[in-house]
Amino acid sequence: MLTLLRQEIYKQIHGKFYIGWPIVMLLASLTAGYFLTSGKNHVDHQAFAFNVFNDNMDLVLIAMVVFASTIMIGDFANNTVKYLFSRQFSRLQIFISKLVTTFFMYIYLIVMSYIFTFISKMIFDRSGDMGIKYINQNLFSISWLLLLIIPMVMLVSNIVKNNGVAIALGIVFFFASSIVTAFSMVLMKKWDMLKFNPFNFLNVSTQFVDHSAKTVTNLSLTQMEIGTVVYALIFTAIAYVIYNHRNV
Amino acid sequence: MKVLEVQNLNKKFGQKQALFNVTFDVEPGTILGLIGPNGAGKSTIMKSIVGLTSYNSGSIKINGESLTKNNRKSLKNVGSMIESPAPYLSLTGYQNLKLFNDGSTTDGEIQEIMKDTQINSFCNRKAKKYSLGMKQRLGIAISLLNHPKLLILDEPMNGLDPQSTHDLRDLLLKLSKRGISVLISSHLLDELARIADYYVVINHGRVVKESDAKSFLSSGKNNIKFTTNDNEKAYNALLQAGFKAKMSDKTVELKDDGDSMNKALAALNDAGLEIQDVSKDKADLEESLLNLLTEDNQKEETK
Ligand SMILES: Nc1ncnc2c1ncn2[C@@H]1O[C@H](COP(=O)(O)OP(=O)(O)OP(=O)(O)O)[C@@H](O)[C@H]1O
Ligand SMILES: [Mg+2]
Repeated sequence: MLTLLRQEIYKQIHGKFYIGWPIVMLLASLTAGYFLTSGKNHVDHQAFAFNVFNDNMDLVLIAMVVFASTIMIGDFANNTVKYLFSRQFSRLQIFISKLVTTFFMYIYLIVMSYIFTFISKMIFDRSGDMGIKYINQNLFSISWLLLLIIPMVMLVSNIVKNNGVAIALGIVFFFASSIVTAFSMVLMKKWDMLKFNPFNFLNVSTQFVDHSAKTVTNLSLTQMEIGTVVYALIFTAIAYVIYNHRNV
Repeated sequence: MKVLEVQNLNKKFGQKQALFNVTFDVEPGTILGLIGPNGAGKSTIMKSIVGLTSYNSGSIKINGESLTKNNRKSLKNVGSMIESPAPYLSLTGYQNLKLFNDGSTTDGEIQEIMKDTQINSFCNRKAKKYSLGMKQRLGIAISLLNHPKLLILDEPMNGLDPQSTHDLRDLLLKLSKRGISVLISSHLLDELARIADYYVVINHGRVVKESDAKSFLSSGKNNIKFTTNDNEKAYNALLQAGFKAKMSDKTVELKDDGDSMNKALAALNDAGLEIQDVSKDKADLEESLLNLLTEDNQKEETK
């Protein structure tokens, strides 16, 4: 298992992703910092850091969608997966090593987000409070959303076996919550059970910050959180079953 | 103990059955050549062994230990390259070797593998920029990592230049002397004939022959060639005497059934022909294989 993790991390360290995305995030942090403080737009001190961090989190979300899809099926692209699948490791071990690596990448990008927000704050809005409480809340709300989206993306990429499609769908899921919400509100009025459809749980991040979203989702925050975990587990399990049955 | 035992392997792709009760084994320190025409099932057998593809029934043991989807420990000592090499293209050759090392291969051993497969000169370039043969050599190098006791190589000579082919042959012989077993498929029968100890012939997903190298070759009938002052007349004389003779450029040929030589000579003498030259050549692997496959295909047709 450690060997597999080491392999996955070795691939990352020799890839461009772990450098490239943070550079994009840093640029975004600086650009956001500049516009948030220039001219009339000057936001208050707590909102500054929150906004910069939030921009970082949007990029983290996109990065994680790309990453989750790529790590699942990237090996298949030029058949390198042969070496992975033909050794003593079980598919379950390989699958878990990929989940763990995905988690590591997430932690890494989060740490980067904090650092870049801090840097931007130091440059453009040195005085005043960071508003760390709001930042942390934002982190948790996005984390809940990712907990649902990442397994969805892994499932889709294993089904369609196409990176581009999986990434596109993953990003759609991210923006879909508002569209789906509009739909499901109408439908949920007719069939109450529909509130348990997985897309309704894409609202988990909204409801985490704003408890009044309950009127939209028809579920309490605790129910939303439990549902998110359950769906995450179900999608991950199905993704694994498909992964386990792939022939090379 | 056998290094590899394959028993009653059956595999279907949808409705199409690709393998029928394939059974064979590999002895320690030997080189087994898996041969057969395109689509016979060689790669499918190899993929089933290492778990790249599932199979419908049958059993596979490595060093006496059963190999199942969930118990794959015995694959620790198996190195393989199946169908085509597939290194990470964005990594260099050396990085690929580092990546696929379980940790049991020391840096010194990696250097030795690079020397054996002669990839030193380009191992610091990205695999993306390799030629077919360079990739092939890297693929072989990867299969040598982690101290394999069994090597499974699917057409490893594909794309190699004559020097590299020669080097690979020497390497495989050297490894087999060290006790490493090799399961190798190749369409380059002359190359295979120089190294294989045993052959398993696959046709339409079945093992049609399993034999050691010597007896396989001697099972092929030898050719006898006659040159006479009138080959056309000689040809007719041999046909009349009951031989399945063939005319070629300057000779008349027939297959040796054991005592064909004397009978044919008698027939030619009776016809009053002057025999200028007689030669007998040994059937090579290619010819033995082709004969065997023709027989097998005929059997199948008459079924
Ligand atoms: N993924 C697949 N789906 C369906 N049929 C397949 C698949 N892979 C192989 N086959 C079929 O299985 C049979 C055996 O193929 P295999 O690749 O094992 O042949 P081979 O002996 O390795 O041939 P070659 O000498 O061309 O490499 C063929 O009839 C082939 O069409
Ligand atoms: Mg093949």
